[in-house]
Amino acid sequence: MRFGIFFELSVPRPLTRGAEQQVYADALEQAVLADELGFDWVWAVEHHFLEEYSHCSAPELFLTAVAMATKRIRVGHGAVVCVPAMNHPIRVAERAAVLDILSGGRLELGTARSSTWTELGGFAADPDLTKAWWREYVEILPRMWTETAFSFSGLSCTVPERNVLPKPVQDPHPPMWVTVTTPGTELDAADRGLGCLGVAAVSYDEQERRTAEYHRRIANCDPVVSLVNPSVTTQNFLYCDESLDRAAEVGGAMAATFGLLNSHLLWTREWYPTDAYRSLGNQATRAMKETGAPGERRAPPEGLAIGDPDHVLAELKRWEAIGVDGVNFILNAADVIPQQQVLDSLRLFAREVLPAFRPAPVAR
Amino acid sequence: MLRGTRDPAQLAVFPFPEPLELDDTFVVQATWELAGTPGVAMVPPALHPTLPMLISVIAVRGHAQVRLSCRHGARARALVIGTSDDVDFDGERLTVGGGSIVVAFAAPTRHLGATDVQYVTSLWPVEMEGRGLRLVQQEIDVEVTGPTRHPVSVESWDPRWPVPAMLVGASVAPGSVSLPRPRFMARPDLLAFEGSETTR
Repeated sequence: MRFGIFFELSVPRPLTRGAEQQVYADALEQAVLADELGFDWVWAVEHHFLEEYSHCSAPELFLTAVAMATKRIRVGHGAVVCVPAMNHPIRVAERAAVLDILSGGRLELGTARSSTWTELGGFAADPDLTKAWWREYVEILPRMWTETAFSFSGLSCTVPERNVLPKPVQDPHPPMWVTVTTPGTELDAADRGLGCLGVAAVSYDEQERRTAEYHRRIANCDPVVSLVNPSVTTQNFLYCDESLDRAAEVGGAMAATFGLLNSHLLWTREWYPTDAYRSLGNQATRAMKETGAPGERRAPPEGLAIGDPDHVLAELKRWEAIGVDGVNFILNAADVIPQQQVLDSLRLFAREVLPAFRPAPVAR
Repeated sequence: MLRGTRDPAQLAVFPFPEPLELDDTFVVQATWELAGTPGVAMVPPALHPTLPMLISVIAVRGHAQVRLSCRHGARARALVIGTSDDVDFDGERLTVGGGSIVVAFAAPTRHLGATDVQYVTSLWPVEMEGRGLRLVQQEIDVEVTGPTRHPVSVESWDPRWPVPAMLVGASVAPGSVSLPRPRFMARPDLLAFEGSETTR
């Protein structure tokens, strides 16, 4: 079982330049500590125009800073948006290879297609084409990293024969993932040999079913990648405190803030008539039709890593038991938790919970 | 997080929405982004504007609404800012209010499944006797077949409402529509978690 920290880089209002700078500084400090404490991954999303929710529009720069400040933790795009108007495929391959070189071969590359009208409309990108673009990206990125005479003609780009440079350090290439929000995308990942980077709230039972099917499919996949990445991760919140009540109060506020900010995003499917998005995206996977009162709060998803060490350990052991390979934690939302408490939570988790998932030292 | 600043007293007020059941009708919806005016200035403090703000016309036989996209608590909603019972749609042109809104529909560019078009629940500003101004929630239940997506152009627009900018999307769907009797409403000055009530 591996653990990562996952950054949206949400910024509290008022949206001052100082507030943005502080969020980046805090995240960098958290990443450095996570490296020291033995976490496995630092992930950073790519979002555009999403005021307050995510100011992480150039994750390759943030992840480069993380790589330069850390020694062993792996740095992950969680994920690059595979939309040509946002990221030309060649530029994705080039930037990823450079980051892999600078990090000493520590890059993980997640791929995604964007779910909000705010982002797709902002780049005048056709929502109907995002799935087809994504399919092309995951096929041609490994080729650009491994071929010296790459050429391609498709929906996303046309490239005459060129050697895309530099090549990544990892041979044949960095592990590749796809973010999974819409049910069924995990099968797209399995069929292509990609890791499944879960970013939506899913119940234990549903995750167990999806994970089993993913592993069954990927064992017989026809990979588009040169390196199959048979891994399933889920997203969670982390707030670990000696006091269960205090953890519930502080961590619960973080989860509620994140959920509310997320539900305020303008999902493509809400107003754009399309068959390309069958669910809203990210955490907001509920149907539009509801039966509850308008002021009813959504119940928190099950299995949250919010609590005292014993509680967090029990929840994560359950995720491990259903076959999940890793859990990525959101540590804060719009700075509702003071930085020192976030760091203390990480330290407590590393001291009391993490050892239960690591091999015991061999007795001499 | 973003929250409306519009004085509720400045909202257009409507009668309590009547239930409506229509078979063999059309459901036409066209939605555009707005530009120029901050979203917070368009909705009352109970609501959260979307980024960007959208303005939308939804029409069925004999009834049309002009609405603004927003959130109430965690829920997607549309604030009603205008209505008309004078609606004509001939397959190529939607005419509301005798021509105060005219939207031309070009040939369809995509055929969609029955669940590929969303109709967001409406919030109606209503002066409720004994309670004061409330945002009355009315769901829009549809059973449509074969919705289609269309390019559209605005030929006439009522200057009372914000002017559409970039088109988001427009659809036409034959089917049946039910606007049930509202069950919930909310104070316009309080967030959803504090200001929600039943209509009884």
